[in-house]
Amino acid sequence: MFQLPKPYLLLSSICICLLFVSCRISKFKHPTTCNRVVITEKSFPAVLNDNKASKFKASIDVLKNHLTGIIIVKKTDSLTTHIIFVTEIGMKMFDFEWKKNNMNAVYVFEPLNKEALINSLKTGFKQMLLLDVFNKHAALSSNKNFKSYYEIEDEKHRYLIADTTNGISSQQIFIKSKKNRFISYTFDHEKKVYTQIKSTQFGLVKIKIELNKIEE
Amino acid sequence: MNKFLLLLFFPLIGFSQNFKPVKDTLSLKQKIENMSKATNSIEADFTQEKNLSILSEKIVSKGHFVFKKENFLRWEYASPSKYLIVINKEKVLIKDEKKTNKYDMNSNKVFKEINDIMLSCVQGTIFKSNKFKTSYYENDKVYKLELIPQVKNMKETFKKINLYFDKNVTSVAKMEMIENNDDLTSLDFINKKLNVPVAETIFIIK
Repeated sequence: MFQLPKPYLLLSSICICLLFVSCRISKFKHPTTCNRVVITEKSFPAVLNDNKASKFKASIDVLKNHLTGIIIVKKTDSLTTHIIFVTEIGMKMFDFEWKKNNMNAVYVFEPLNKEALINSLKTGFKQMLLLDVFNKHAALSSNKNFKSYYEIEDEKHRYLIADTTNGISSQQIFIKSKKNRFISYTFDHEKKVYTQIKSTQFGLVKIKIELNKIEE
Repeated sequence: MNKFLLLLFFPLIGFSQNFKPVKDTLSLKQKIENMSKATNSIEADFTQEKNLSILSEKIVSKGHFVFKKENFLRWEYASPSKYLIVINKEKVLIKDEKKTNKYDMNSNKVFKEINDIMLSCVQGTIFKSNKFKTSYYENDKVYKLELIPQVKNMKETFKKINLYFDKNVTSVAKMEMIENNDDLTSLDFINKKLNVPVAETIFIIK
């Protein structure tokens, strides 16, 4: 019986492994292609506008609290973006600062200031607002329905599902094969804005965030 | 035309004119105490303005509030969105456009802190709290109490709170909450009715 040489078998195994790892999203849906790409605003529209503040009506359900108010997101200089949550009665609940790929808490209303909670909120808003996505390498797969699946290279198990015409439709983040966060997006194709973003975080700290864009 | 402009901005002039320290602070404290004791209910419309340093425009909200002694408060926002807070002693109801939630004040630190500030500001009794150091100022139109937080939690939230009273010291006319980065929330109370009968049914939390 014909036997393949050992080096050939080894090389084939490595190739199969690489294919399996780089196209992990193939398990997620059924892609027909898989490429390494850099995510840009041509891949899908950004949530935030560089030039003016974005305002969202917001509700955050966490630790038996149902907090509502307005989230204001604004780029204050070329490197810094602030995310501020103010309740209806004018109390500021938090002010997060996204700078040099780090999310820092500038201010947190003291009764909410629990480390695990704040870390979850910081990660949640970073992912929801797509702050940490652009200019990153990702494995891109597509299927017949023109959907694109991005797996960000340095963040395994984070999948962004985009439609070529309707922007991002969802994000799914897994930790040790368990779903950690699901984020859904509603995109207004005519106005070219995301009108609604909803995030559900599972696990020990359960958080639900809903953002509805306030029309200017 | 000038007279018209003066009338239009008259209420604002009172709050922004130069202030000097009150000489007889004991007398003013007594007046505020008397006001607080004599006030059994307050009903008023309010305009809330939030100034954030990162935003060029203000966030303006309007609504109506009713206070009844002791510890009954109905704080109702009509615009830009409907939002209702009812405080009935130790219970809190919060109703937004989608959800109604009820809380026990003592089991929720977030609302206990907010409730304490709201009630003591509305009644003007916040100056008695040991959480603040109070300075007293006046001009021709109003008295101003400047409250500087003295305890850690409050210091982290506010740089100072200003309370304004008309010269007859009948009720709080305006309130300003200034945060550490100078973001400011102001509340102007208009169409005030003092000590009118208020049905307790509007504070019922079912």
